Amino acid sequence: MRSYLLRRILLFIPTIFVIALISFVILLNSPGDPVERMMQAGGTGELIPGVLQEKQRAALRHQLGLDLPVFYFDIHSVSENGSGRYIPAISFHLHNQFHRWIFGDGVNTNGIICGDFGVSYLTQQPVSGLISDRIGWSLFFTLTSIFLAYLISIPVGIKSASQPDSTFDRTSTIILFLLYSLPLFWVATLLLMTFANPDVLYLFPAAGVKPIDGYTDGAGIFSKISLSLPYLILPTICYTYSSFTFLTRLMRSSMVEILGSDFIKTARAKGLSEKKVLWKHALKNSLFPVITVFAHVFPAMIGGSVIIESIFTIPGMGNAIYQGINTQDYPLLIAVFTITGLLTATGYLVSDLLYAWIDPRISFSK
Amino acid sequence: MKQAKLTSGRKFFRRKTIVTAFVVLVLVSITALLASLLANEKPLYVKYKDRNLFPALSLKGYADIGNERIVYATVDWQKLQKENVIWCPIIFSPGKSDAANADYKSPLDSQVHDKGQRHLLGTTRTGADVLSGIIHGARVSLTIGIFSMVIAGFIGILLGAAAGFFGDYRIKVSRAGLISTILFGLPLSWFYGIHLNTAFSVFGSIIFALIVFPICICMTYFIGRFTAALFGWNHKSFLHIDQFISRSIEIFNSIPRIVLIITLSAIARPSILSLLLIIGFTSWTEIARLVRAEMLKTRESEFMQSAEASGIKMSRQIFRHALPNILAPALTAIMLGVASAILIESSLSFLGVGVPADVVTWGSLLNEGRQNFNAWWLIAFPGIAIFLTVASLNLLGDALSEMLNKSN
Repeated sequence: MRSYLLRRILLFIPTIFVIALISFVILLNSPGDPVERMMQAGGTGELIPGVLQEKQRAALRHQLGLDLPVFYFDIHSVSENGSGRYIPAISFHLHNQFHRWIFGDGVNTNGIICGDFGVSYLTQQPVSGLISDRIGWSLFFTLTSIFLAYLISIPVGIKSASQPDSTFDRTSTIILFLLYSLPLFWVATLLLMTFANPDVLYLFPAAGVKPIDGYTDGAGIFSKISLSLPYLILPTICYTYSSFTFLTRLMRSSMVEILGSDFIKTARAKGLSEKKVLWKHALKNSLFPVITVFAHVFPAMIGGSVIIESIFTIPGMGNAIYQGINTQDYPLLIAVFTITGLLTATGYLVSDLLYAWIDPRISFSK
Repeated sequence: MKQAKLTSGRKFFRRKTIVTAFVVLVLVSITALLASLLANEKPLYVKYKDRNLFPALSLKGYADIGNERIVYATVDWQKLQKENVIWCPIIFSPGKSDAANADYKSPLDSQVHDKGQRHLLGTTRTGADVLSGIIHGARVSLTIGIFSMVIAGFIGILLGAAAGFFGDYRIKVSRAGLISTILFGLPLSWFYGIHLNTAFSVFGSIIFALIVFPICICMTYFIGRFTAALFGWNHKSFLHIDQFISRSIEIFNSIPRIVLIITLSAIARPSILSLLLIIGFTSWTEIARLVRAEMLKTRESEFMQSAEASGIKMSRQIFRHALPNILAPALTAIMLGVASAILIESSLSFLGVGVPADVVTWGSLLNEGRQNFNAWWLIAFPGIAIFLTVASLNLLGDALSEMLNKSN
């Protein structure tokens, strides 16, 4: 168990390294020249004469670190003067773009390790600032809807597993299967079409998270919530729906498996009431996989957030990706990718550790 | 008695749904295969100035008659003085604007049908036919779904089977060669295979990388091995294939797949090929994990042990004895993978990423419907198409895996 925990935590290091490496390679291969983009966005492109423009270009290249090699390491002999045996040594040099991107150079950038993802092509603002403005809404929706999804799916799963082949079980299985195959963006569009359409039902506003002219001055937290609530209902339904079907199916199958095991038979043979068997013996054990699957629900939600947030125009991370694509703002895209990757990897780590804590028999899949 | 009757009735119902799902899939596949014959503004057959032309089937795209050249894509087939003609069942091409029926004509509205056919499922803002778009969208979706899963299945089965079959203590390699590969081979393959690899298209780059990588790795391995052998260093060490592949799968699983796909396809040039490559290369982990687990089970089975004991060559053990037993479980994962690839493709084209703007897909039709909520036909019909395809694939995948679980 201890060796498992240690190895699982150690695996986190290559994981974040690979995420950083993939983002870096994507950034390197993004089309267009960053210097040109920066000069266009700065609006100084045409105003200054050619020589100065060249100079500015070179300065920008240096500022962005593009004059450095991408990776830089070499192999040389340890022995100094060429005499003696050849003892190979490999040394990594710090003056390269990858190192600069991760750790910064202390002058122009602090590196992603300090949360510096560079400057947005579009607004010329630091990307990290853009993201920290947006991450709140995404996390709010994700966490609320994960909570709601658990709240609905656990009782439904238990009920349908405890009465197999009942009408409830059959209808819920069929409905869940149908919901599971519905494309999320279609559901979102249908919801908007029916409930936020002036021609059909105009119950909810179609876009945003708060009134267009903002909250009234001096509004308390409760009046803010009540003002925002109608905006939040449809997106929350969409967020919840995407993980709810998966969780209910999982809960049901886990419960069915536990109910068939020997210790449940023993409990029943002891003469315990069905209620006690279900809620005291079976529930605890069947909950483990459902709770630890949290980490798998999380990335799916982040993925879904791109679609939901762009449909409902919520100022979150998913919408940042959507805008980043439309305006070809690659630093923003890469930053969102890296951050969601980090969040997901951390989620997986936590869920694996939780699982090990609950079920100490676990080992690295033998 | 009643119970037995009930279960048999339910079994029948279940079998019926599975058959329905299968029929739906066959229909969608046929539609996708014959899309350009089913919905095309070019006629199937035209007799013009005593020449027999087959515009919908032609790959050439034009015909020279006397000194007149008929370019199939631009000629006005309605006004052409033809002697005989057989039209396609739907006489509209996807995405072709029709000014007379522009501005969202509902299927129930009165339409201008100067071509002798109504737009059965309505039109878009530019007057493009929705039914034709759905028929051609089936082709795009199935192409991306199936071919991306062919790639993912290939990678997944290869890695999963290798991890399951060889385990950690079955392959021994020269330690010097291994060190040399890690120190020199991987950087060299990165440098030649990826960094210098800019001259080709997406497909060309991948083929190039697939050639360069093994060459670099083999070369550095053998150079390292023989150099060390010259100095009398012949240590061998186990290659921990299973550890390596399992950990890679875990690392890869920690990357949010949809965000990765969106980011990659925003950076690649939009094309169907690059989208299916991106989806294929990011979706293999589930298949690999399943195949690995199946392979571990199969390797422990008696027939594999007797195959090993009777001294059969390892390649024969793998390809004749082990692999056929894991293909069926892999197939279920691949089927569910096709469904999820179709969902990803349609979400991407709904967002306007990945597929070029002029290609009509189910997702892009839905996106047009989002601009105008009164055009319910633009939202309903493509959505139903996606739903039916994905639901049938999921149903068949589930049924297959249930069947396999029962037979085990």
